Amino acid sequence: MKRDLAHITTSPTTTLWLLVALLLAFAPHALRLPLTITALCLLFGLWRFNIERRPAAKLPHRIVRTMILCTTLVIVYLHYGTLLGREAGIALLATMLALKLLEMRTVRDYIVVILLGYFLAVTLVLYSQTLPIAAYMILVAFMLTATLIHLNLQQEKRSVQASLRTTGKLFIQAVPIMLILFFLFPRIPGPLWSLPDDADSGTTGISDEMSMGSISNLSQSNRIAFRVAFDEQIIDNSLSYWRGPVLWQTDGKNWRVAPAAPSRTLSYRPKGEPVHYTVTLEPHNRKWLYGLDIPATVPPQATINRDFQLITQSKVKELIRYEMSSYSEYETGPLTSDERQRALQLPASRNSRAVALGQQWQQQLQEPEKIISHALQYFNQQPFVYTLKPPLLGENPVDEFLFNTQQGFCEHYAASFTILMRAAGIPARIVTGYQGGDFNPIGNYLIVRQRDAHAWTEVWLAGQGWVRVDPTAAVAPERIEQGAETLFSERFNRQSTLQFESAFLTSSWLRLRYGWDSLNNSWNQWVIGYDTLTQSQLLSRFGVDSIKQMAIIMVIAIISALTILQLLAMRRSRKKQDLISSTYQHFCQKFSAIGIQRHPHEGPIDFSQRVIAARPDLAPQVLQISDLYIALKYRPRHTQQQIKELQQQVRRLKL
Amino acid sequence: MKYLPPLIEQLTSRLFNIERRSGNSRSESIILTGRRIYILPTYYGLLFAMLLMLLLVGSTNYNNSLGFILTFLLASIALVSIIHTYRNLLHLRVEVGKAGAVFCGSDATFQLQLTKTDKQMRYNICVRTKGTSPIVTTIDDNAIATVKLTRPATQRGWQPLEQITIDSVFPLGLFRAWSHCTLPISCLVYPQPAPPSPPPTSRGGGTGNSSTLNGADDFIGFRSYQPGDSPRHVNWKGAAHSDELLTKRFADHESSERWFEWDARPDLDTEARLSLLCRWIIDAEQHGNRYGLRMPDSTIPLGQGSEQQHRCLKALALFEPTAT
Repeated sequence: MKRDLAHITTSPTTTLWLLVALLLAFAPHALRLPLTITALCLLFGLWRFNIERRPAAKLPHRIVRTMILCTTLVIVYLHYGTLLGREAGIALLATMLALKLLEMRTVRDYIVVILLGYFLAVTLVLYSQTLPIAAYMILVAFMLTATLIHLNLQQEKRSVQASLRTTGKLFIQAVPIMLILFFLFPRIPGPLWSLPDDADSGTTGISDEMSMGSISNLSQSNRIAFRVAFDEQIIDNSLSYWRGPVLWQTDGKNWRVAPAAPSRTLSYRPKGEPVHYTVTLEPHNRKWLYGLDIPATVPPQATINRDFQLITQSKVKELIRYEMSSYSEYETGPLTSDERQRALQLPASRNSRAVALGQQWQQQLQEPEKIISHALQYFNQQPFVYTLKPPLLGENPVDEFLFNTQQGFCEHYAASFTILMRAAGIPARIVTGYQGGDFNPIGNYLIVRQRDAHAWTEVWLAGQGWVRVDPTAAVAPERIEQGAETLFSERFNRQSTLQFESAFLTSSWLRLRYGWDSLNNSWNQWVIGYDTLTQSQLLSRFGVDSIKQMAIIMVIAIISALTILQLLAMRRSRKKQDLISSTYQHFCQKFSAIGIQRHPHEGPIDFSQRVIAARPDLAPQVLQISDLYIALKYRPRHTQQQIKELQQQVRRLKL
Repeated sequence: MKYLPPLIEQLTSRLFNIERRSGNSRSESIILTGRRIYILPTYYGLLFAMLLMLLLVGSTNYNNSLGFILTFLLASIALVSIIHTYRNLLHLRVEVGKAGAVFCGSDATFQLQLTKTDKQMRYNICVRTKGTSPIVTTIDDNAIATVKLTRPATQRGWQPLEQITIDSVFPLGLFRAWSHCTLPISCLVYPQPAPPSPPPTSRGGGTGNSSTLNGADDFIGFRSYQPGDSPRHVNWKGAAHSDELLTKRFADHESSERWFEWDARPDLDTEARLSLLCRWIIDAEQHGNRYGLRMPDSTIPLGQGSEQQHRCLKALALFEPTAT
């Protein structure tokens, strides 16, 4: 079967195109791969480029190539300690592809390189699945396909233009079928086998540990954590606490979640009506979801634990979407003795001044409510500063923070407050998560970013259960009311309004940003978040319940799309051609009436010459008609006007 | 794997009897309609399918939506390319062109004309017959492409063009569309000229003379080379300067008339006799003689020029020995 393409030959232009396409596919990896490997790939590519420029140059000898191959394998192995897995696999693919360039000679080699190029293109999306990356990947696929088409053009008539035009046509015509496949192709829930450990690009966002300064690190990041669309009314900013890990254990410096508390059914008494909303969570590679404080329903992907945290079975490695509802007012039940013990746990050796202060408050005030409001007043009245860049703290961080530096971010306040409460005999724990978010008026949803990461405290009060207390609010109430963005970009805003450009610029910039995010949100919801679950949900809405039905509908849809495509293409040329041909036939019939028959294989030029020989008097008319006919029939562009003219000319012809 | 397409082809042709019908058609032009065009994946098409499978498994495994998008995009492009490949052949008109006359032992040539009946460009169309290297052509806005097929001429007489295959893998090389045509075109194959040998001594009615070929012939000019001309008479020096190969023409001193007779050498068998006659006719033409041919079943009167030569050689080519 290889003979099918036996007549195809390669040419330098094709090679150059291929090199450009591969360079495009490789470029995003270039920065990510180790320097040695990037350099190797570029070296091989340049080598091939040089060979192509000088016709006398030859491809390296087989022995040289084998040596290079072995060296490259060793280099990759030394770098990663393996040849498998994602990182090493991509390095291996890139180097082998670059090496293949040095032995690329036959059409078969070219096609293999192009196919490997497609593979390299798909590895681009293992790191990021944003809209720009998608566009870039399609560009790479376009270039590779154009090269493949260039290869399949007749050598003497190869033109870049023709291959680009055909590629464009193919891509445009492929879109409907691609959409059918994307939405209807039955998705099998992955992974099919356990992924290598490096399959994820790393964790982002809040972790299950906290130390002083860990959340303020996040506050520099504009990365989106999740987006929320509310069913009815958007929730007030001061109530939008997005619950994440709950931290109990501390050594005075670091805070950790307690050993997994057994999950149980929700046991609390809700007050008021629940809020309904849908969260689109970006992958963060952790085993939990975020929901408003506190969840009323549990999405199918998760279970809820005693800390009211939504726990997933496996790490969230791809974007997911879930519907939820929450109560903002509630009353939780009593505390178990184990819980009470853990909620009062204090490290013996650290932060003795803070512990002493808490114990002093307990003796003075007795009642928990009074202690809490006193503590909040303490934060409010002492010269505490809310800042993104708190000074580094030493071995007794709470003491140093409370009595020396007094500059901190939310985790400083939450941690110190919790220590003070525990010292004062009030069960307390830290809850981490996000607070606030920006509302996108264009897409009508809330964007929660990493900089909205937050930590607050929950204290247990008899009769009320766990109650949220946010000491940060005592220091910087605007952080809670307006969100981190307004607070920390205030300086920037003031500057820009001082300069003479109007608020219009700022607002159109904002609108642009919200528009772009809204686009990304739809992209996430419909493309990235489209998985097995969404597919079955969407299709069951149309009454499609089984995979078998889905497959049948998909096949029918594809066949109809192809048929429509074929019919459209045929009709376009056929309709006009029929008119032109029948007019010319009419012309021929006129002559056959006087005994000049057109032979079936006779071309219009030959026929017109024969006619003119027989009837020299008709020469100008006959010539005009046959010229017009040839132009209409075989030249690419013609107008309706010309067809009409041909009809008229033939009609007027009197023998 | 290699034998798969022919097998399927045979199967389909048996099933629908398409091949036979088209094979019997004696029309001088055939339009490749939908029923005549077969399409199957090539080796690279199968390779591509493997790539798609790998991409699909990878995307499923990493649950990567963009991976799915690329996989499905490539799959759709491959599907759409079927239509493009098919349409690259569809409604192509294949017409009989000229078929020259050649000597046995050289290559029979057949000209075919490919015409597109619509505006669609036809890229990289490949025409071949069994055992020949394919001829590749592109039909652009000129609408007509002429293809010259050559087959070794092994037997004198009419050599018909065997069934030809017109195929195309454009645009991606993943699918191959092909169609078979049998066209009523034949190339006349003259007998193979015998090695140069002295012409016959005149007999019968011939006003013969027996001057030898390598005698005192006069060079009288050039004419374009024809197959069968003696290499000794080819103007090799001139060939270095121009594309055209010229043969020197010589005239005998006593420019004369010759009759070549079937019975001149009764000792040889039919084919050898024909070869010898062929040689004599060529030489006579080359020397500017007037000559005629007497065969058992026909006689060609004296004459001169390429027309005369063709008439004589045709008679030789088509000669069928009777029981005598």
